[in-house]
Amino acid sequence: MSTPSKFNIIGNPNINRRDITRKVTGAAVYAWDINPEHIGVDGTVGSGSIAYLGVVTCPYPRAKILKIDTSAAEAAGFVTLTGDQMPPYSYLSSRNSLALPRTSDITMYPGQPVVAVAALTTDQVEDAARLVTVEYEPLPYILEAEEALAPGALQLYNGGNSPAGGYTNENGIAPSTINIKFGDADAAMAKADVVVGPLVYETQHEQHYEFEPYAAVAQWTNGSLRVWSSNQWAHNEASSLAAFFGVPVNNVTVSTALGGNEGGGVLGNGLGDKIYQELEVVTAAMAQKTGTVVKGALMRNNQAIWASARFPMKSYMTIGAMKDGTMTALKATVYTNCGAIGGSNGDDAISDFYNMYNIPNVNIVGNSANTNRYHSAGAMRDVGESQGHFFIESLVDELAQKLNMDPAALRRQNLRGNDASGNPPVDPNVNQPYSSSAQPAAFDKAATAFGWSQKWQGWGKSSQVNGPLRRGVGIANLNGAKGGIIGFGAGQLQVSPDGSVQAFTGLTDHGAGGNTTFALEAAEALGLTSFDNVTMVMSDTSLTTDTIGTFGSRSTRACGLAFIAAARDLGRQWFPIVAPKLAPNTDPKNLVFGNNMIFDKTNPSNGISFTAAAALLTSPMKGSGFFPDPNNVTERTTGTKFAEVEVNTETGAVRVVHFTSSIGIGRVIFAKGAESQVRGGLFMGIGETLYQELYLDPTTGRHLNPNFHDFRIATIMEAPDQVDALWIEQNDPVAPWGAVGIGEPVLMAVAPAIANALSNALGGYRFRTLPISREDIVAGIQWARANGTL
Amino acid sequence: MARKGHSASKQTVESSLLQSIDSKKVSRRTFLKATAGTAAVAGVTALALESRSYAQSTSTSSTAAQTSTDPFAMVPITLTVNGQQYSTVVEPRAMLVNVIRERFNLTGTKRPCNRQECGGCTVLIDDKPFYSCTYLAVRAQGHQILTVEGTQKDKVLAAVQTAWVSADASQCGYCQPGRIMAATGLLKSNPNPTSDQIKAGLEGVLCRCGTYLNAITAVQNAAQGLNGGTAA
Amino acid sequence: MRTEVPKFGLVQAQSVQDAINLLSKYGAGNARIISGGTDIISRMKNGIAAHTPNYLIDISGLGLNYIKQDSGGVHIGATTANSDVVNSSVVNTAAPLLASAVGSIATLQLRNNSTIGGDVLQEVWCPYLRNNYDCWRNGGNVCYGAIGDNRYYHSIFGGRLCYAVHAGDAAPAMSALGAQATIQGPLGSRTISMDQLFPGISVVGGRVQEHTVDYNEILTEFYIPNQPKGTKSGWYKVRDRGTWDFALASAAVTVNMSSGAASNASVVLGGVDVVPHRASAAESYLNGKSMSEDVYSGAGAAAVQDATPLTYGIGNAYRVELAKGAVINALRALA
Repeated sequence: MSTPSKFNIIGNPNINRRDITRKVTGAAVYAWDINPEHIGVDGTVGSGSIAYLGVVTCPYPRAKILKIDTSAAEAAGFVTLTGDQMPPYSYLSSRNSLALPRTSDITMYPGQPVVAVAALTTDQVEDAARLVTVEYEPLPYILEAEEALAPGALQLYNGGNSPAGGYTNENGIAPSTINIKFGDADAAMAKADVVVGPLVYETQHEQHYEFEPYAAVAQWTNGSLRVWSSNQWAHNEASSLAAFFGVPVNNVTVSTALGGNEGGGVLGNGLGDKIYQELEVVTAAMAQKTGTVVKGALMRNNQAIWASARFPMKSYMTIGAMKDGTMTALKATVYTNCGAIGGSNGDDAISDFYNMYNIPNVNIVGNSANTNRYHSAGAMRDVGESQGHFFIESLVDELAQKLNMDPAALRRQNLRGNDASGNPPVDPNVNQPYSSSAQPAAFDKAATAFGWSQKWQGWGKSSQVNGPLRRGVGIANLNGAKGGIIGFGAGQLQVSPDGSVQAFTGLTDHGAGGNTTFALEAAEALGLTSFDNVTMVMSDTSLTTDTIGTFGSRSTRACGLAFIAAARDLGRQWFPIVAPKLAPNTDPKNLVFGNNMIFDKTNPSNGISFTAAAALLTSPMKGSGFFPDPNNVTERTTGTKFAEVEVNTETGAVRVVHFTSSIGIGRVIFAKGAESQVRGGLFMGIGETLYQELYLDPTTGRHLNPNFHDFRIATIMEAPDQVDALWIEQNDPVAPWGAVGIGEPVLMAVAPAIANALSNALGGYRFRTLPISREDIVAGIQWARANGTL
Repeated sequence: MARKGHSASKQTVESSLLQSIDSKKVSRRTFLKATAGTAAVAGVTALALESRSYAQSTSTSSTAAQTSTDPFAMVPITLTVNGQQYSTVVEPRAMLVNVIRERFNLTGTKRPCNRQECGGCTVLIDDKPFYSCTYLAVRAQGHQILTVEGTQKDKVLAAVQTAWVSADASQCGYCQPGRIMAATGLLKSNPNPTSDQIKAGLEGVLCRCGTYLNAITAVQNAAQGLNGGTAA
Repeated sequence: MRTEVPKFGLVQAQSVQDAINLLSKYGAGNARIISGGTDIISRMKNGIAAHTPNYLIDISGLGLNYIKQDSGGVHIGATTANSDVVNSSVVNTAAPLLASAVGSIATLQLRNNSTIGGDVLQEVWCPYLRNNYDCWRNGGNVCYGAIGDNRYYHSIFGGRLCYAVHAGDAAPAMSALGAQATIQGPLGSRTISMDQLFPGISVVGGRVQEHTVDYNEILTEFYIPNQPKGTKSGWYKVRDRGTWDFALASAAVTVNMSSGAASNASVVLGGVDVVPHRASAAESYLNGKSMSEDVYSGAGAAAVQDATPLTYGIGNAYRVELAKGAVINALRALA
């Protein structure tokens, strides 16, 4: 940095991830790693003090359980647990599904766990599973949302297949779960010079494939439950488990991994998969049954199917504009496939449609349906907004194509952003202002860095041709719901007489860098230029308070605001002790933290060092902070992305050559981590666009690829030549030092940027489904040849 | 069950790890209580199997007349990991990754997929990278196994781990031990790799967080640090 | 689909004959050999019932890992690690096509842990088999791929019984090089061509498979004869990502260019047929022609002119284009 920062430590580009040494030396203990030694339990192999849990799953999308026979497994010395043996409670969802089904129940998705088994070593868990026999009667099933809502559809639940719980009406239409309407879209569409659509766009079923599978270690002691698990929300897990087992919540302690000092920030990614408690419930129930510590650690083929998923979406879209490029009308009918137990979803996706551009007439209907495709729609990085961005930014690109307008210029013209005076835009659905927007600055910065005007050759022309290799360029804007505060933030900062600081948060670090970001925020709030003396106490319900979980790109904002409040509370108690040691008549209300000092803001030379001030304490002092999400602003993350791709027209191979990301981060806190997020989001987006899909056998509905072999995530060979990570620091006013969340926004809009670039490479052929498979690319190549654009 | 309290989590974990590598007490897991009536195998502590399920394995072995050794029998093995010897007794099917993680309590090596499809379990065996989840433990005898806990024993590994820090080449960290071992193996065989050679050397470890570009930089920096030469 | 391995008895074979005797004694389905283990272990981890033997006969210690050159060619022992084949200066000089093909197998770690014999004889990767469906290769009498999801792993040149492709990379290259395989069994030893090793789907020792090695036979050696002077070769593998994946289509080509025009052309496709697929029409097309972009295209078209992609189930016609592209690029890579 060429100019000195006005901050103590945040934004410093030289800060390294503070937990990286532990992770690269193998010292960090993840929940999946927990051995008896880690938790003080007898470690003798086969001693019976710790048992390993696995599951037997149903292969059918829907089946009636006729008989469960565990006798062979029990005779061989294993322990089994069935739904018949668990307390008859309901589980989180609109569909009252059980953690394990009982005999005569109907299973609702392929891979649903039916019986749990426990064995004394990991090797033997599947031996045990093999000895369990379950008889099923396969039943008819539905895999697609539209089909589930069609008249006469098989009813999966009493009351219909819409999670809103409504019946289909006489026209076979379920009550809409989402209705967005302003202006008069039909009238505006009729008056538009150009109408594009209705076009259908679809996205795939994907799951997280986070590298650390689910793990939970459960131990009961005199009616109290201790759980060490790979979770993104320990506090919610503790209260859920307490409710399930009917014990007071104070008798349940949950931590992410080992918890404690520095141990709770160790999570092998989650991506939203680890907010749920199915595994913990079953593991704790098994621990009750065996009387031992039980470690449930999922195998990859189970992990690939369990918990939540990216819900498949299908959207019928139409857009109208005047010939000068002014967008006037947008209509969409959206179907969200919620899986077996998911509730209504798709709101965030739809919010992307009407927030992106200033379209005054909008009519969007969002339908959700339960199906037997998979377990549950729920959190997976972006939740709906990978899909939503693909839909709107593909449609807008097709509009530009029909208008024969530069797709960047069309977007710039209609972009929702700050006005000429810098006032933020207004969310048209709720008529309240954004807390901030980075547009149009993010757009302009990205276009320049990418070199759009040099690369774009016009519609129907590849940006570059080199024998069979053809390049194309594409653009997609970002305007996402994720990155807001969601709920509230809470945290505590404690200083000890030796000057060391403990920062307490219920959040964890799932790889996004929270351990470092939160430590930076704690240090900044206390005016420290280093976090060397800060210990992070994370995600341990015996030591921290609930601050809602680590998801939704919320934690930087929620934690930072909480720590700012905690520092204020700490000062309220501490500064009256410090003031008498400073110049006479120093008012403690004028004291502030800064530059490793506590000083008088009206006379900065009047102060003492942080360490000397700490030495005045006789015992540790804790400040507590709380920050609720205000409900009078719309918090969205904005930006623009450009992609340059290269297609081999002989083999269909696709390479992303150059990618530019420009995001309104508000304020850079952890510089290296933020840049790493952009790169990581790009790789995940490349996989999402070109390879990833969980597919079922078309005949039996069973999973065919719940593994890394055939669910293909991006490899190092997919690395682009150049990735630009650009930031706009728009200094959001409802944010710690202006910082908003970017963990999911780095993934949004990647798919349409690549898809639009592919389209440009192949003379305008449109890809309207994700993933864009090799087969799709070949179809595009053949079309381009036939249309003379190749 | 009496709780003996948390183990290493209260110390600075790196220092405890580096200390423990030098003075590692063989964990309780590798000592199995001896009882009367169990045949001792030469050179290895006599052991008894408390678990019913282990006892079963010998009873299911084939009764067909064959060599004197029961092919299903537990096999006593001694493995050399990070220069240290560890002894235990395993079934023939035991995979190296489970043995080092669970018997020797070396949990640095991870097991994200257990099917040789992700690379997260990569270790070096005689300086070459292998997937430890499909490598039979009994086969690993007589070889030098290097894992991420081997920092003190291998300067190439230490240089790679150090380079990882400033390059921010780790996010959630779960695949990193695998990639770090692959990088270490690469630099041992090719001290000045080109960018393409780095990608080829690291190709076999996937990353869901997408740290690949930072890993390439880290390897280039590690190579420079080790050789004083410029990366190609 | 699982990830752990059921219990098995591990027997160290004392000699090739000992291994053959053990396989015969235990019987088909009850025992299989293990060399590197990446194939049989993966089948057992997948939980494929008919591929989960009670005994594994370890042949890795029988000294079958060698690369030896004599005046006629190169002998490669069947349990030679694939990475050793890739790094061998002998192979890179005498049969660079093989080094290229084997170098594109999976990943470095898998090439370290797998053997050349294992790659040539590996089981197919059809997702139905790998999910323990009761298909022809797993105790049943149906091919689920033929009527289901056949996009990635099923034949575009038709088939019978099992339609899953031979997905390995070594075999097409060996076939193009005119390699021979030596197989030892209870009745003695035989040395056969790659075409004879891969006659197509038949029932061998009660197993539906595409090669002729019986349940109690062991492939011990490959022999790559010296290529005529002036031979150029090229390998190209089309796959979804830049590493890990099996071929969507691959091509191994050798051509003699000593007279200026091509002669003795050998074009073998991988990943598109139940066996390495000799594209005779492409070979005939190439012979007598000088190389040019037009000739590459013509050869590519000829290589797939008799393709019969599956139209039941989801279908795999797109791989015809990829096979064509593989041939074109392999020719372009001739060196």
